[in-house]
Formats: sequence, C-alpha cells, structure tokens
Amino acid sequence: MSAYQTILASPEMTSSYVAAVVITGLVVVFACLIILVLFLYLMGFIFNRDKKSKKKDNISASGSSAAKGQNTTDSVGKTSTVKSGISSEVVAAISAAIAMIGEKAGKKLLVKRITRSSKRGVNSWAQAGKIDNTRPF
Amino acid sequence: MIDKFLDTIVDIAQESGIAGFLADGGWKNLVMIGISFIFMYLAIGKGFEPLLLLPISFGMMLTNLPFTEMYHPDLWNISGGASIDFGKVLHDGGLLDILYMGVKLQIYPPLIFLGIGAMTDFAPLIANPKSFLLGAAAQGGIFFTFIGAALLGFTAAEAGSIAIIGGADGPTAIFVSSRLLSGDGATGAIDTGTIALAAYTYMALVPIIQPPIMKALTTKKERSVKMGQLRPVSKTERVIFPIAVTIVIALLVPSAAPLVGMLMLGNLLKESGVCDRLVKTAQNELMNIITIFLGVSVGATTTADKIMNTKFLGVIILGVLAFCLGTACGVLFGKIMYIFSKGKVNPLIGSAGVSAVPMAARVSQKVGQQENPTNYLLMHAMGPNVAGVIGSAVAAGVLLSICV
Repeated sequence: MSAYQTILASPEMTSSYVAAVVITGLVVVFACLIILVLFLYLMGFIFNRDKKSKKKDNISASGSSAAKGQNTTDSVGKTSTVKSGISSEVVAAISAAIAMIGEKAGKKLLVKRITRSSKRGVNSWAQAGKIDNTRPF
Repeated sequence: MIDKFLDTIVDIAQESGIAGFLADGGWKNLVMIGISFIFMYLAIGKGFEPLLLLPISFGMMLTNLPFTEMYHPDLWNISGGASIDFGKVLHDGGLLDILYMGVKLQIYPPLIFLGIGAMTDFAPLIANPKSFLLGAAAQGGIFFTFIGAALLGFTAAEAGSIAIIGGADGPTAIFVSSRLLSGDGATGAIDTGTIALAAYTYMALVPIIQPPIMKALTTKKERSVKMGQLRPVSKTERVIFPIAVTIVIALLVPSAAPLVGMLMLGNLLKESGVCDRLVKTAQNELMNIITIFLGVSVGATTTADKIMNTKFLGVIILGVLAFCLGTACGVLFGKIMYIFSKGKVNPLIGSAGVSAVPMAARVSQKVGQQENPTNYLLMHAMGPNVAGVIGSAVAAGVLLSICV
C-alpha cells in the first residue's frame, strides 16, 4: 500500500506517474495470477497423486487376483454386462435419458441394472386395460 | 371562451416534449434519440449484446425525451471532491435516478458477477493453470491504454475509467468508472454511461475486432496447432478453487474483493451442488433483474452533453485501442507459450484472455477452425477467457487503488 500512496501523492499526470501506473498494474496482475497458477498446480499435483496411487492399487489388486486364476471382472465390466437380451446401445440410451432427467449438479447417476418389467409377449396396453377392468370400485 | 381554449392549448404545447426539442440545444436530444435507435437496431436486428444494449439504448431514449424527469443529471454532476447527496436523490429523483443509485453505490456490478460465477465453469482453467498467464497478459490492453488516455489529456480517474474498457468486461468497467468518476479526479466531462456504452459496443464487436489482429500476429503453422485433451477436474478441486481465489485476491488486492468475492460466491454455490435454488436464482431471476436495472439506468446517463463532445470521441478511440491492445498482448503471450512449450500451445487462445465470456473464446475457436477444420480450441480458450474475468477484476482493483 505504501507504493500506492507514493503514487497518489502526485496529482498530476506526469510521465513518471503514468509509468508507475502501468508497471504497478502489470506487476500486480501477473503476481496475483502467478500465485493462483502455483496454487492450482499444487492442488492438481495433490489430487492427481491421490488418483494415481488409487489406480496403482486397483491395478495391483486386479493383477494379483488374475494371477490366482480367478475369473473376476472389474467394476466397469460388471456395470456394462448386458442381460435379458438388451443391447449395450439401448442401455446407453436409457442411461443418458435417465441422467438428463434425474442428474443434479454435483450428483452422478449410475445405472446398475436394466431389466424388463413385463414378460415377453404381454402387451403393455393389454396390461393397462386389465388393471383398469379389475380395479375395485 | 375561445381565448381560454387557445391559452390552454398553448400551455400544453409549451409543456410538451416537442417544445423541449425546439428549445435551445433541444436538437441534441433528437440526435441522441437517433443514436439510441441505432443501438436498438444493433441489439434487435443484429443481435449485438442485446441483453444489455437494448435496455441501455432504451434508457438513452428515455433520458433524452424532454421533460420526462426520470433522470436528473444535476443530482449526479459532482466535481472537486464533493460527494453525492443521496438523500436529495431519494427526495427529488425520478425512477431512473433511484435505479442509478445501484450503479453509483457499486451494488449492481458485484451482483451481476454473482450470476456470472453461478454460470461459469472454471474446470478448463483448473485443468490448465497456465491459462491464468494469458488472462494476465491480455490485461496489458488496460494499462497501455492508460498511457494513451494520459496523452489525450484525461485526468487519472478518467484515464483509469477509459482504460478498463480494455478488460472487455461490462460490469467491471461500470464498477471502476462509477467509483473513479465520483472522486476528486472527476471533471464531469465523461460519465459511467459513456464508459459502459463504449465497453458494451466493443464487446459486441469482438468477432469483428479480434480476428484480423489474431491473424496478423500468428503464422499459419501456429494457428494450426492442435492442443491435447484437458485432464478431468474433481469436485473437490472445483469447490476449493473459488474459496482459494477469493482469499488470495482479497488479501493481495482488497479493492478487487467485491467483484472477485461475488464471482466466486456464485461459483461456489454452483459447484457445491447443495444450493440448487440459490444457483437458479443467481443465474436467472437475480441476474435478469439487475441487468434490466443496470442497463436502463446506465443508458439514462447518456445525456446529449455527455456524448456529443470531443471527450466522448476520445473515449471511443481509446476504447477500441484498449480492445486491440488487449487482444494483441494475449496473442503475443500465447506465442511465447508456443515457443516455450515447443509448439504445444496454440497462440490463438491468448486472445480469449480479454474477458468477453464466451464470445472471445468462440472467436479463438472460429479462427483456429479456419486453418484446420478438425481443430477444437473452444475448451482450451475457455481457460484464458475465465482467467480474463479474474484478471480484469484484479486490474480493476489496482486502478481503484492507484487512481482514486
């Protein structure tokens, strides 16, 4: 602040005053943003290190289990398993639609399973009619 | 009977706005209304920054219609260290005087920043922190324009207000000019409305102003550089970022705290994921209400005597100079990064360091794709673009510290 006050003491737009404004301005802006750059690098380093160590742990764990000859699949493999004859494209489309409707900021939805709610051959319109006709008065 | 009728008609005619146009200097109001129509056309017909240019131009029209009494320049014209009598404004002011208090008290710009923060994704900046340097370099336009303003004979306060146009950030320009032009250095020759009008006009012209400079300062090879994919950013990093930026900036440049603090509060609300209602309000209702108030009241300050003088011509010339210099500084720093990164950084993203979110980033993308249609620079340009918002807020803080 003392530097600012020295400049303030000069009410005239002299060349030294203008030069001081330009140099002070650029130095302060760069200094502030360089500090933020360093902070972000530090933050990125810490979080990436955590992620890398977790990845390494996962790789080593899966490697050891594979060595034992167990037939295991990773979490991605489990979630992408296709059942009941539903293709992966359909699963992806349903997942995207659910995410569009239900996802909120900061929360991620994960579709774990997609199964048919009615047996093959039973028309949903017929089922709706049946429910309508059998509903108690 | 007929005499009384004629007298009444004459009285009504003399009190009407039409008589105001025929009074001494009334033609200037007509010219100003014509200018407001041009801005309305640019906003509606051409889509140039319509959300702000339309309320500003309508405010300009309202204030130049004689005898409407919605805005009273004499309540705000102060110089020589005098202060505004807000009590008198409340007692004697019109609707636009009351709304303009939010500008003079520096309330609207930080609230707009709150909304901007709630809409901004800082992930590209967090993923590539070097972008901050481009955001800082582009602020060179502000400080080099200060030299030009000094050469044209403006006072320090006026020069600071004009220079901040180079930040390409409307709320920041209004924030700085409203404070600087209320202090000792104010001569009354230019006003916040003049600065805002120039700033928003040039922001709307970013796609026209920037590309020639970007092309002139870069080679075809540099423009064709494809940049690598950005790393994913975790939620924790996104949450820590606004808190850390606020603390760092507020400690180093306290006068930038209102702008940066509100910007980061909005962003924290968004990234926390637990304040959906507040985020929606900040992004929509609050932002829209303030935009209307800000636009129409700033437009109201553009009275004929403020616009139709040589000082305004100086503001217009220096404003475009500020934009060009900011763009050039960003691109040139991008070239330095291109050299040091051994060709991994496309210098075109440097031009996005002037704020003008997201227009400046889109321009980088467009110019990059002209050289290589498969090149997607948008996300890379968003880093310097949002860094420019923070950078211009810091530059504003510096100008407020030095020039008040």
